[in-house]
Amino acid sequence: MDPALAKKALKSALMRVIAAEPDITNYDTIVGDGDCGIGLKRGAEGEFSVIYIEGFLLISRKLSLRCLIERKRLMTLPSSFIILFMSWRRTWTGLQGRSMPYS
Amino acid sequence: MDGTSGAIYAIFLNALAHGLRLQSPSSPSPATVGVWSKALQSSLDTLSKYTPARPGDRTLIDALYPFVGTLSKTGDVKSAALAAEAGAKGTRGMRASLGRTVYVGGEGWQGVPDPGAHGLAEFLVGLSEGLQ
Repeated sequence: MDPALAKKALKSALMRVIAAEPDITNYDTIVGDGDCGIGLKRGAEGEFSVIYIEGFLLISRKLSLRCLIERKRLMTLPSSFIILFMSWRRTWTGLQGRSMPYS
Repeated sequence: MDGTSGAIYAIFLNALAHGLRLQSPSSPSPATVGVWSKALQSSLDTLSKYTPARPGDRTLIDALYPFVGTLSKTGDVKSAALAAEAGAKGTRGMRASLGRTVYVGGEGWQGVPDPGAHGLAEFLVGLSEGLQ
């Protein structure tokens, strides 16, 4: 898979999550503890800054997930999405490596 | 059940990476939709060993399962994302047996979808739009 396309797709996905924040907050105020939307938005924004600053596929695997979560003061579901993004990036980083089978 | 979705995503994505590696060809070649579908399907199988959540429980699973199922059937990411969106919308009015809505009381849950399912559906729809 083309790394540029993967990056474009992830950006689009994150934008969508950020834009959905008011709705998610509204829903979670009714059926949850109300932090789902804001947390997701912060998580997505955090991931965005990582993409822009450090580069999507060049990012170090050593980047601490814990640091990112603590910096953003993320709670449960948001931290889940951070894990999702981090895992996804790690998967792609691995898949794009020269020794890996997928191009 | 607070924070369960973190474990669910971690297990799912680890299984996804494993599923992709299992299908590694001997020479470099693109990871096709078929490869992704197979890996996603096996990830759901793995996930089901660790969580009792199934479609109908009013969790993010209600968005995830339709996405994977539709992608496997059609090979079309856009259709799969729309299925995830429909799945998330379908949680509206659903009585929760697992997930966040179980432990939060109050009125009005019938009128809104599960926030976790909605968030995942939005992510997947955005992903499919970015892949166009």
